Amino acid sequence: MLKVKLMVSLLDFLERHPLLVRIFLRPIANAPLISGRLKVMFRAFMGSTALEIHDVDVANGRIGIGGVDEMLFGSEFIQILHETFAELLDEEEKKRVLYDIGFKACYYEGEEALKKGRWAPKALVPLIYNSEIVDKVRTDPLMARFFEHIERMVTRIILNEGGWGHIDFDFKSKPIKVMLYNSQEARYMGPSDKPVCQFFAGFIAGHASSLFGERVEAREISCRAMGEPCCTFEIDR
Amino acid sequence: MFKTIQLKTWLTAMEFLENHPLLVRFFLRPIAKSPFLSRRLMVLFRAYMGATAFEIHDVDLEQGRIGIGGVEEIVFGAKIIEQLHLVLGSRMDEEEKKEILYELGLNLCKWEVSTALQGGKWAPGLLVPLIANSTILDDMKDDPLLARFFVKVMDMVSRLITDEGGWGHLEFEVQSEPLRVLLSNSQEASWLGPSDKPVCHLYTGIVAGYASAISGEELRAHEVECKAMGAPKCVFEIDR
Repeated sequence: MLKVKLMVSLLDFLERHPLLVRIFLRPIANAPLISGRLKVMFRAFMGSTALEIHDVDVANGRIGIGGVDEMLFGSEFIQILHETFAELLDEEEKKRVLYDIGFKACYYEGEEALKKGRWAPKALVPLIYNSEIVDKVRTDPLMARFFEHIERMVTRIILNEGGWGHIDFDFKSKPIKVMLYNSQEARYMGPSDKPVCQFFAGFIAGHASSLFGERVEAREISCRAMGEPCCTFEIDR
Repeated sequence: MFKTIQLKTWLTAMEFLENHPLLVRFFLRPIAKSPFLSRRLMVLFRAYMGATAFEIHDVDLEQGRIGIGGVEEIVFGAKIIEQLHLVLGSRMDEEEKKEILYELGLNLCKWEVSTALQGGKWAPGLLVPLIANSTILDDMKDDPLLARFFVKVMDMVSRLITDEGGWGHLEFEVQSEPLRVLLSNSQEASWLGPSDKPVCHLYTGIVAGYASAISGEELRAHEVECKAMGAPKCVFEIDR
């Protein structure tokens, strides 16, 4: 508990002092000799952007973050995926295929990040990645604050700076709710009378499954493509 | 005549920069990255001045959007490549899967190149017709100067999109017949090999998309050698 308290105090402090982060910590986090030794999350809290944290191997044509290989695609790939699968499969099958691809890709990313051990110190990982995290977040305000800091930073690195939009979590609601703003799928596939973020629903389920250490599913209950202000997903446990 | 002068001028500038990496690194790169100047410079200029693809990217943190020179992008874990092959492979035969992945790559790349060319943020209007025109693929065969210029520009474009996009490293053999493109460290070959047949179906589509968007013709490509089969590089030929 002391560990969590210390971490929360530190993270609150950094949040309240953006100038200190920007002018003093960020250059340290990006300094060539130091940056290679710092964990991804430390660098992010010190103000580094996701693109600054990425490893780039130009000679071999590889990029990655904290040991997880990544690739850049034109955002229209989302629409091309939807349209190509729509030509081949019926609506339900298409939905399942996109969900499966999103799930497996994101679950693998989470697992790979944990395995490589470059995202956060080993002592901190079990505080977040465990099957009881949701109950703890619901009952313990300190844990809720800690979890909020971490999830906000992880999603900033992967989603906001990965071009996917911005997400907020509501872990206190039952079932858990995830709100996605500026969904790429809604943008390319809307307007629609049904939710369209099938890939992203799988993506959220994959992330949550990796986080909780058990398979969970996600479904989109309202969508920007239907005229809602954001896309809302519920996570079933 | 004017075209030759233009080509010679561009080539001289490019080769000068290539021969002076320290000047690029210590003098030009900071200029290409400086907040006020960087926004006014075209993507390719910044790249030749030493800026990396990530340094050139625009990031809208609040909206959750990233892009380069007006082309919006999204970051996927590389596992997506394997998943696309596996999910499609479980629902259709090999030939159909190959064609679907090819189409995905072709459409993706045509969209990216046409968005980049139309956006006018990648290269000055004068430079674009030298590279993207209906006779470029034939002209290069008879004009070594044009071929050298084309390869240099494509090397830089592919550094930004392919190498620094996590896809591997590309080389172009524009004077060979048929035209050949070589890919080192293919992601598809890494995820799907070893195999007794070429596996880079998505990337074959991407190569065809590049060639089609640049020439304005509908061109097809096919993979003749693949790293997944034990070849040192994946080799694609463009059919005309």
